[in-house]
Amino acid sequence: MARFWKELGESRELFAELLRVQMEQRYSGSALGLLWALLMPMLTILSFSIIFAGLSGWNLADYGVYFFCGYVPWTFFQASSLNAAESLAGNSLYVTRLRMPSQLLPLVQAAASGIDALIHLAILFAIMPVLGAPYHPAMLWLPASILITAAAGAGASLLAAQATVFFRDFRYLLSSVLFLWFFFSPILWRPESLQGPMREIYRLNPAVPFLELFQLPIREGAVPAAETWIVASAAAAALCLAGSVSFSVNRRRFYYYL
Amino acid sequence: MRQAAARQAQAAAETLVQTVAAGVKYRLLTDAGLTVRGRLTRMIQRTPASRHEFWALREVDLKFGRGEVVGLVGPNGSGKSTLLRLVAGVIEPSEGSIQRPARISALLEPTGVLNASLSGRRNAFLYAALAGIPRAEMAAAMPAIEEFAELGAFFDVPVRTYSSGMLARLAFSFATQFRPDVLLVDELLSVGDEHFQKKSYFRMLKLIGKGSLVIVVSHNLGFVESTCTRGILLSGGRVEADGNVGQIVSAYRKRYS
Repeated sequence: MARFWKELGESRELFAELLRVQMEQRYSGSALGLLWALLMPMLTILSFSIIFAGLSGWNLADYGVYFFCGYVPWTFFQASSLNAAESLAGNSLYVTRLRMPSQLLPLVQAAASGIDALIHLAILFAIMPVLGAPYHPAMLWLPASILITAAAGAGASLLAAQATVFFRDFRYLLSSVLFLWFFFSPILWRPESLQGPMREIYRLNPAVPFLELFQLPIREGAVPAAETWIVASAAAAALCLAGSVSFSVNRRRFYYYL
Repeated sequence: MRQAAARQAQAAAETLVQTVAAGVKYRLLTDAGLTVRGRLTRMIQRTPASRHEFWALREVDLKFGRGEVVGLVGPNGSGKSTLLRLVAGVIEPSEGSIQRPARISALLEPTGVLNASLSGRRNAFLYAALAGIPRAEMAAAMPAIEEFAELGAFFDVPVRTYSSGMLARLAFSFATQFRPDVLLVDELLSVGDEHFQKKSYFRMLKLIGKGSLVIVVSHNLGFVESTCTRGILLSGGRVEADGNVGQIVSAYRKRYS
C-alpha cells in the first residue's frame, strides 16, 4: 500500500509522458484534432436537448444547461472507468515485459478523461451567457466538486482495470450497467418531475450527490447541502481506498492472467 | 589467506544478479475461467475449476557477475524467457529469492512495448520515460541513437510501417544507449541483418567492457556461441548445465538434435 503511493510519486515524469502520448493519439490523430473533442459533446447535448426538451415542454436553453451540468461529471466517470478497464488487459505487454508501476496505466486513462471533462466544463461556461444562464457566486465551489469527482473516477478506474484482468468481459458488463444507470440518474430528467415516494427513493442512487455538486452551483446558484458534500467525499474516499488497496494486493497476480 | 578473502569479497561485490532456489509457478487458465460468463456457467453446471499448475522454473541457483555475457539455451518451454522476466523484475519468484540491481534494460519483445502509431523518435522518448531516463538526457542522446539505428527517414515515421528487422534496430539502439547494469535480450538480434548484427555485437562488447551484464536468449546457436562467454542449458525449468559456452552449446546439440 505504501509502495503504491511511493511509486506514484516517483514516476511523475512517466505519468506525464504516458498522458502526453494518450492525448496526442486522441486528438492529433484525427483531422479535426482538438475540435473533435469540442464537437462531440456539443452534438450529443444539442440532440438530446432538442428531443427531451421537446418531449417535456421545457425551455430548450434551460434544459441544455441542466443536461450539460450532469453530462460533464457523468461522462467523466463513464469514460474513465471504461477506458481504464482496457488499460491493463489491452496493454498486457507493459505489464508482462516491463518493470513499471502498472497503476499508472488506469490512472492515465482517468487523467485523460479528466482533461476532456475540464474542456467540456469550459465550453459550458462559454455558452452559458448565450443560453441566458447567469454566472452564480456558488460556482466558486466547483473546484471542490471537481476534486471529489476526480478522486472517485481515479478509484473506479483502478477497480475497473483489475476486474478486467481477471474477467475479460467485465467491460461489456460495466458499459451495460452504466447505460442503464444513466437513465436512472437525474441527468436527462429533473428530480422535481418525480411523484410520490420516488421523490425520496431516487436519492439512494449514489450518482445523485456527485451530480448535485455540479447541477446546484451552476444551474440553481445554490451551494450543495453539507450532507451532499459529506456523502460524495466519503464515496470518493472509499473508491480510492478500495482501488489502491486491492491494486496493491492483486498486482503480483496480474502477470499470470495477462 | 588474506588475499583469498579479499578475492572472495571482490567476487561477491561483482555479483549483480543472484537467485537462490528460485521457482516460478504458472497457473494454466482456461478461457472460460477468464470471463464472468464462463464462471457463472461453471457455477450453474457445478463443474469444478481446473487448477492446472506448472512450474516454469524450479530450484534455480544462479549468480551473474559484471562483464559476463550469458547465453540461455534450451528447447521451447524450458524456462528461458521466464528466467529473463524474473531477472528483469516483471515477475517475482513464487518460491526462493532473487537480488537484482536498479537499472535493468530489458529487450523482451520490443515490438509489444513500442507504440505502433508513434514515430521511432517519439518511441525513444516513451522508452526513456519507461526506463526512468530523464527527458533531457534522452534528447541529448537522440542524434547518436538515430545514427546507430540507421533507419534514415523512417526514424520519424510511425513504427507500424517498420519491418521486424527495423523494429529490432530501433529498440536495440535506444536500449543500449544508456549503459544499463544488466541488458537482457530475448531473440532480438537474430532478426537484424548481418551488418547490424555485427554492429550490435561490437556495442555489446563495449557495454561488457563498461561492466554491464548481458543475458541473451536465442535459438540461433551460432550467434550464442560467437557472442557469449558463458552458457546455461535449461530443461524443464531446471538448470541442467552451466559453464563454458562452447561446451554448453555442444551438449545442447547432442541432446536435442
